[in-house]
Amino acid sequence: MNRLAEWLSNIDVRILQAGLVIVVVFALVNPMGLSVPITEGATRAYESINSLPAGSKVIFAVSTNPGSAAEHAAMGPAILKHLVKDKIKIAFIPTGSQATAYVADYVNQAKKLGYKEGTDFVNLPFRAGDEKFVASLGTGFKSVYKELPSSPLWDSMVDIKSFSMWIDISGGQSQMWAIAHIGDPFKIPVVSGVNSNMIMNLEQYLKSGQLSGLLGGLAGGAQYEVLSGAPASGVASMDAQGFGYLWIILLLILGNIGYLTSKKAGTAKGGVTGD
Amino acid sequence: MTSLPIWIGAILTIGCYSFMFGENVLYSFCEHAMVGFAAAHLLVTGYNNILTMAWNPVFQKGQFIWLIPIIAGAMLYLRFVKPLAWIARIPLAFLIGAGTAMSVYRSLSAEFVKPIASTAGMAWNTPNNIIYIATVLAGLAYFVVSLKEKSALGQGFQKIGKVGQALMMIGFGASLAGNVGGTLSYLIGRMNFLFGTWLGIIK
Amino acid sequence: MKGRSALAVLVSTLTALVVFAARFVDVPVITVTSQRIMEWTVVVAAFALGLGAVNLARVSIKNISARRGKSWWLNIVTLVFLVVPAVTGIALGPNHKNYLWMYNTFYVPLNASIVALGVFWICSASYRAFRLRNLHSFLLLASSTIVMIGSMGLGQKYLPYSPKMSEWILNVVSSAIMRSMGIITAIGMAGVGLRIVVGLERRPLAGGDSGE
Repeated sequence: MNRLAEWLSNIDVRILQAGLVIVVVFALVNPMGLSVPITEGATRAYESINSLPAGSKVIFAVSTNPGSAAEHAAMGPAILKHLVKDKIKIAFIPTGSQATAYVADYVNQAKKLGYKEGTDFVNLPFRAGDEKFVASLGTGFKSVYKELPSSPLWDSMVDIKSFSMWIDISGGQSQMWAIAHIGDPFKIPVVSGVNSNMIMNLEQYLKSGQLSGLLGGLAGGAQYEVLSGAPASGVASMDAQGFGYLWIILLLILGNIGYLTSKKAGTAKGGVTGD
Repeated sequence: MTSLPIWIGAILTIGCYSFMFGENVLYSFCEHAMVGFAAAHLLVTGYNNILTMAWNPVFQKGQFIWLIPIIAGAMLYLRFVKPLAWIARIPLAFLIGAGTAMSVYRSLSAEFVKPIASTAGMAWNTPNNIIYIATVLAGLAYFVVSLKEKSALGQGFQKIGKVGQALMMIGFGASLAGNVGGTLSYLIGRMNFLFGTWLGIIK
Repeated sequence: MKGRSALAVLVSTLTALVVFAARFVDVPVITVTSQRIMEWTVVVAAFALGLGAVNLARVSIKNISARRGKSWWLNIVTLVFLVVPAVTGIALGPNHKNYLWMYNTFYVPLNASIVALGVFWICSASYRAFRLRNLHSFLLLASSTIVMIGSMGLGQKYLPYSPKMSEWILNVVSSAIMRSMGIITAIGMAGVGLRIVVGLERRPLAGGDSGE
């Protein structure tokens, strides 16, 4: 028993890390097609966007960076396809300095789906300032985009009240700016797509009605794909994420079996100090 | 035939993952390259912003009022000139003032008043609502440190706070699950690139 | 020396008061001034974006000329990856295909891969650090396990109640706790913000020079 405990406590972590990679790759290569549990936040996001009448204008604010791109890879395209299908007019706005390349991707996708710049969507350039920029969109929308040429759609976007919704795809900070400076003062619904680790922080705003929908990470994107009837890369990655979770749970169990049996044997080690 | 950018991306990805075997030259190269490019990208986007928002309005449209933020922004770079470095504090103060006003307004309106109003407005008609309200109060009680420990009220808050602390662990556990999901997504993204885009094994 | 610090505090206070007041009052002078301030902060913030690059270049050049440490040559790597994209982007624009090629070829895989390394720390922590020592650690591990199982298709298939349990934890307990912590954090942030505005908190305005 002592030898088992010692072995369980001393597995080389690199083997466990490699095991995680193997398990994830295996699931990606051999998908099982398992179902995707749908959350309330995703359902509300879908229903909010679905309820927009054709011809409504929305802001599609993106703050994706290469680090968070994997989390947003499914939700952004899924929402975009839904907006195009329902003939919603879009103003793409990068709210992060590294989002311009990702907004360019969305613009290309919109064009491939048949949308035309100037009549169906506008592509607004990045402006520095983070929260100050988002707030200035509320108080003086066109004043930060004075140099943009006229087009039928851009001319119809007079101020922030011209928009029926703010859709925010980001790591979890710009949602708060949108809620405080756009959603609450101007009563514009905010639908948010965030990184998985920020869902907990933002669930309370879903409950208070300050958010009209909440998608969390790759799973949120997969849920939106299922709800909109267009499964794509998000759904395809869910099996891999599930197996990854299982591996982490296995590590938790292995580590604690080793710890508890060592504790009984009086040779316990590991853990965080000061409990 | 896989293209050059994909091969470069694959080599850089493998270089970053070589960190699993300890710090090495390839990983250090990738790390330093990333830091350099990140700074370059910020410089490029900043330059573009200045050009479109301020420089062109001044020199192409004669809107000289935009000289004020141009001069203020340029003053930031005086921090690198020792005798004049104090001047850089002024535009910094301008940014801090505006940013602070925004964040105080956001904190008070969206993160303080509205959540409290929402909690106070919840009906006590379902078990979930009752648990929700009780959990919010227990969590708040944990952070009340201004009451004297020996007073009856202080001790009451401490006991409720202990319940709040236990409930916080449940919240942090959910947060941990979210973090695990997030990092798994990043791994899945990279594996899709390596085994899908580069090697073509994932269809 | 006191005058310099007082000037910075005065600018910060006046700016903050105008912007803050504009949120609550509808006086044209205040709202127009506030809007102008917000537009100008976008430009000044754009200048600030370049500060990091300039500082990085300074430090890298210093390390290269001093040949500091065994890995001093890595500073050349930093400088190359700073200068080449910066010159390309400034000359051609950030939306030019050549700049985007460099961005997508080099920066995207680098950033994404370094961020993805976090999963290995999670592995290590799950195996070595998360220990069932007491009630609190049990609650933490139990809730994280329930949420993970409830989030996956396998959980839905073999433990049909797991998604409902996971939703309950997220929507009720976790949401309520994050609300209480959010309220406390908001009070703290408002307090610190007000201290900065009235000049009691000077640390954000200090540094970078030999003044007070």
